[in-house]
Amino acid sequence: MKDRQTDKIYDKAIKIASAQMNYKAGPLMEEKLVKMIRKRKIISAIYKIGALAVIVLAVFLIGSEKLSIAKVHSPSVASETLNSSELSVESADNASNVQQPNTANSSEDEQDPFFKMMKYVSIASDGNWLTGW
Amino acid sequence: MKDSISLLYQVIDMKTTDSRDLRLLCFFASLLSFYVVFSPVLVFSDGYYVRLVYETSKNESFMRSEEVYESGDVKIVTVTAPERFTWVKVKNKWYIGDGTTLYRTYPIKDLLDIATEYVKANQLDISRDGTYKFCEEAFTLEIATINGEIAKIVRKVGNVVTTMYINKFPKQFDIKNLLSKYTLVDKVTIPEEFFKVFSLFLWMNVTEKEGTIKCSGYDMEGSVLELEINKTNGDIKVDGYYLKVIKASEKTLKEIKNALRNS
Repeated sequence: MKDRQTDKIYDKAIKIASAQMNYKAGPLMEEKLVKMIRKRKIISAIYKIGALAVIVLAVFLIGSEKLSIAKVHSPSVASETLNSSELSVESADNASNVQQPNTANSSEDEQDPFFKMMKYVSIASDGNWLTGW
Repeated sequence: MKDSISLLYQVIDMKTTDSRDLRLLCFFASLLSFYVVFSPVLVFSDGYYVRLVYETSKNESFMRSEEVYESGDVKIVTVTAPERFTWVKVKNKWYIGDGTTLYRTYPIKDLLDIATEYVKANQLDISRDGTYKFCEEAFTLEIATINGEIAKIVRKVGNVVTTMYINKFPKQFDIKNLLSKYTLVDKVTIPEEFFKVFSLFLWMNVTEKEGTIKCSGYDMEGSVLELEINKTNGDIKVDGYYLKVIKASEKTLKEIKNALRNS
């Protein structure tokens, strides 16, 4: 009884295997199967490593973006950042030398509210571009 | 025979596992591509920035540093140098002041607003990292993008070069909570006529000397435009203030007169 069941399972497995990998009964089949298993194992491992790499890369990218731990910059970008930091340091050093026209000769205590607002808006605004392009 | 069956099942099972791994890989790959494609768009709109603005002309230079909180249609900018004050944009209204009470003022546009408006109006694509240069009759605009965001803007109007460096930092904040610290006063203190006159400037700088403010800059066509406002004398009187046109092109002078026709 058990043998019949085993035969049925074997036949079914043979059918599936023949459909999927051209299985044909023969003396070297087991060897072929072992080779196939090894091959599949290697492919499976590659897929797993690939998936893991994608996850790690995603976490790294998202993590660095949100926490700004590390950002991947190209050399030109790095030099851009360097220039901007140099500029900010330079501007801090020369702060006393930089002329600030908006603050010149202002008596803050007795300043007209309109004049004061004008001055602030002039500092904050980089232009009035209300019309169409 | 049993061994053969188990081997066969192992092969079939592995094949199923492989396809599951493949599906998993595809899922994460698509998730990653979605993030890479859409993250700059998501990141672009809201956030916390620290910005530095340098403005140089033939005779003078100017520097401004500021902190910006932006979320939805609310923008809170605290200028820390050369003077400390705050301006706020809520929908289409602007407020400014040096304390917790901010007064309604005319539209303030920083270089980032100008650049983004220009890009949108001309339907330009600046999504790739790099430097883009746009030339118009009255000005040139240079926009540098890094990681899908605008990091540097350079504008040249006449002999004035304005450069803005934008640094975005990750910071959690509640914009409503930040806004609740300020009292916004809707009463307008600037005469409406001046709104119209100031809108004729493409770029303007204000200096103050002995009760007189001098507005000097360029009009929309890139011609020099200079005005003076004081409380004692001038060409046209507007709500207790006098306006004097120092330098203007014929066209702009007509527009100024039209704006102040009822005064």
